[in-house]
Amino acid sequence: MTAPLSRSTSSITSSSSPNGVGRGDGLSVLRLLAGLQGLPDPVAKADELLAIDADTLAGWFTIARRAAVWLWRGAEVLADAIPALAVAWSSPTPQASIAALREAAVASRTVVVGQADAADLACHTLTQVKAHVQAALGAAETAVAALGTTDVGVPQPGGSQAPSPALQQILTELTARLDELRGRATAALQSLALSLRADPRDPIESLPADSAAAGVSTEPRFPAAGVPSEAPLGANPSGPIPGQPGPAPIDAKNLERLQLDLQSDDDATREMAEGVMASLTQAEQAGGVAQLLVYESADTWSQGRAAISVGDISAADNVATLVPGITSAPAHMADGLNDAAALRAEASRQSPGESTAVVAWYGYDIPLGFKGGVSTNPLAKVDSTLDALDDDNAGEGGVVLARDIDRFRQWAPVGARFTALGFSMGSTTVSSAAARGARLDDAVLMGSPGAGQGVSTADGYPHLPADHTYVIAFDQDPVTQTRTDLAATATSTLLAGPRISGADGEPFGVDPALADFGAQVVDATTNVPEVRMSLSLPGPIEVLADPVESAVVNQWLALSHHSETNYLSGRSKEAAAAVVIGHYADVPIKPGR
Amino acid sequence: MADDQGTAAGRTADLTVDTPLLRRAAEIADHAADALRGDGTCEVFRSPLSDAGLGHSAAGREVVAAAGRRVLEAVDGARALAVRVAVAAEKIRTAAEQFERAEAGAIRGPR
Repeated sequence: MTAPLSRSTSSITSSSSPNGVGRGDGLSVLRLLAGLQGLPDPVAKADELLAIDADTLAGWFTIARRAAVWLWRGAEVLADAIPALAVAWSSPTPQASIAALREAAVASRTVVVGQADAADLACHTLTQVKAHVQAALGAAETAVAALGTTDVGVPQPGGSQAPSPALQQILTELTARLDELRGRATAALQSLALSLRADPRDPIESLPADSAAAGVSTEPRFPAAGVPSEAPLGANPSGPIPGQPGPAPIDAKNLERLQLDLQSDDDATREMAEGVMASLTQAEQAGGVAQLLVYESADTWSQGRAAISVGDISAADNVATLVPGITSAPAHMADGLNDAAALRAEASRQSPGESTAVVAWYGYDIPLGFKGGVSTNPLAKVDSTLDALDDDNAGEGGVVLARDIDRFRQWAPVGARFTALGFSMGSTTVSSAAARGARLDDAVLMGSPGAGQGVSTADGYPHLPADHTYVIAFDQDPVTQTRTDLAATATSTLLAGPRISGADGEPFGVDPALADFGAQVVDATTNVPEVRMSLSLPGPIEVLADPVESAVVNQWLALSHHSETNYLSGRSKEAAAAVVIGHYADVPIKPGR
Repeated sequence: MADDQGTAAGRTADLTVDTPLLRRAAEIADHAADALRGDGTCEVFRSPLSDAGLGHSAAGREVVAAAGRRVLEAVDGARALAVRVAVAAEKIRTAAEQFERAEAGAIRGPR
């Protein structure tokens, strides 16, 4: 017979924990023994469950319950008005209007009560889970305390401990129990998350618009470029748009500048303005409402800046800002707007009751922008070419993006969710913006060459928790691989001499798809079919040329995986849209590289 | 009480209006708007839930974000409906006034 564990190593004296729950010192023994036995720490798992703040969740929903009472009372009183109206006015229209208001109150209350009930149910389950966790920990502590000193394993030289079957069984059973409880907690939260996808305002917002809204013009605000307009844009930029009532639109000043640039003698300025005008037409056709949120003229040195919202930012529940990669330019935003429209459509498909605006943000000095933009002078082209070899422009662009997002927030409804999505160099720009304190709810880095200098982990964003940073990196995309850094470094050194890179020597910073970076890596695959080519050349030439040429061709083919449209297609688009609307449970996650 | 005859698509229809009762209906709608506005005890602007308050799982984070919005939207929705009901009440009251003026001869009838 072995002696029981001495009190000094297995004391289960209660003490108070930050969770307000009595905790035994035996927990530290459990943790220690698990480590010595080479088993996962069960106490860490337990702590995560015990930290769930079900009481605050329940308290928060008491406010919803109060709103439900208001809606119920309002509906009851409105019900009294209907018979009075029926007698007072023989026309059925007034009764129908009041009845519709009452039905909206009832329908909204149904949603609110359903959500409050779901919250109560989830809180009940979570509270139960926490109690079970406490009980499981207590039982394990007691079982360990009852073990003899030899049962817990004989110390080995070097501080490790010999395997102890009895102890391992206790710890393994505890871990299994905690996993089961964690599953119950997750299921309860998933059920609540589903319930919370309904917007209680929908029944109210879907009521017929007030007759005061009549007279809203159905004419497009932005005539197609080159088509003469009877009421030219900017004719009355400080007042309302002709045919539209109410205050001046939020983009009135930008539209005024655009109108002036359309008449400019400077070819670059005019070309960009014409391109932006065409883009506005495209965006309006895609989203019903298009807004020119940023506009700065191009000239012979610069491609200018522009950002167009597909959808009304001033009424949006979700605002996504989409940042393109190299060779993009404000003068030709067609591809970016197509991607923005596709992302918005997917968000609407997943959450029909919510409105989403997607801003195509061509707001930074995009390297190689002249390839798709207006003609600039040769020196500017050289400068823009060299800019593609490192993250300098992304870093500076991040500052501008953070500032623009602050402005967008002023135009959007209070409480709107903000997500920034960047592709390629655009992802580096988004990362830099987040590192500079951009107020984002989520970020999505797609096809990223790196997170930018100074950002070593996803914990480096001041206002963006690491688990709100999502990375989509296709394994077939060469730009997300280390060889892009090597190629850029070699080319940069060749063209401009050695430069000082980050501590790790990578010109675009750390690959955010690495496990060590700590972001959420989305489990999605490329939407482009994989094609590999093998050249067939005659005789001895084949021996020398084939491997080299095949490698070059395959590298070129691999680049087809690196496009914004590829990243915003299929499952990756679904995942990106789920992030934009905050449906995190629908985002498939995999371990990082 | 006003009894008017209107024309629509070449047909005639009797319109019966009881203006005091219309005003009563408007009053009831006003009470409904008051009820929908609530008691002013819910001046809350943000959720007390912290980002990891329900754990680090995707479902937990989604609930934190969604709960923060939905509760506020429930309050907003009730108040938005209160505004619509108040507007409807005002329209009923205006209609009653117009009918009374028409009956008094201040406004010519639709015939």
